[in-house]
Amino acid sequence: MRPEALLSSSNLGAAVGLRTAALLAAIVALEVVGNGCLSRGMRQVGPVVGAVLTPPRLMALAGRIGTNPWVVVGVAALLGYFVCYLTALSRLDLSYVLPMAASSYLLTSGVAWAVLGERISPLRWLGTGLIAVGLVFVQTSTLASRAPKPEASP
Amino acid sequence: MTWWGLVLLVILADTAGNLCLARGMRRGTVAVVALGVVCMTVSFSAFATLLSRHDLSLVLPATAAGYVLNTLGAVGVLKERVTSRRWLGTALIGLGVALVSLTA
Repeated sequence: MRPEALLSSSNLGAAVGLRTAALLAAIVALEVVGNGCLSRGMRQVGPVVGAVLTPPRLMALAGRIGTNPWVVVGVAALLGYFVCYLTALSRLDLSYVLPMAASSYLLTSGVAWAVLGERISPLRWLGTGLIAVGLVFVQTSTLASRAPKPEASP
Repeated sequence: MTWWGLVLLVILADTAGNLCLARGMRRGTVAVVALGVVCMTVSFSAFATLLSRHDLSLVLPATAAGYVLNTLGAVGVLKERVTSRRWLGTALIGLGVALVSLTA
């Protein structure tokens, strides 16, 4: 698949099958939701600083983090994401899996803004957008370097 | 630990964890897989610590600096040839991380 073709993914569902599209959507959703929940939970726990880390305080902190429902849901979602991601890497064409990471940066910031109420300055949006675009270039070049060379195939 | 120290810990521990998991799974070495899980846990703990102090919209983009280190490592350590497309992407990511960091 030519890298340029990756950018036009409007007919992704039809091209790669519903099952694959569902797995890719689940990966992105689990990552975005997981990070959002973890962020909300850790904010409720409060800033973790080095001075906290004496053994008794560490135990108390671990208890607070481990019993925070947002953290628990977030960790569960991110574990699910990890398993789905590994499944996708082993079973699917990488040309669908790798560029997906680019969209998760923008979606995560979208959720942080819309749901978590974070105030995101235009500069931060610009930076996040550049990262997403850069990631598409990096990932598609990874694909190109893994593709079999034309002369290698009989 | 400082901001960049924690970001670096997230990135390096994650990279080490990925390498250990990939190698351990392929060769069936339980100890290496376990080391990979430890690295992943360290990375995740550093990430959660960052999230306790800063916005998600700041922390997650900052960890994209890992892609820059990845390319530099490929060139500097592994002596791989990097395409101009990957250099362009790496530069864009680096610029993006720099801009996002300015809003910290």
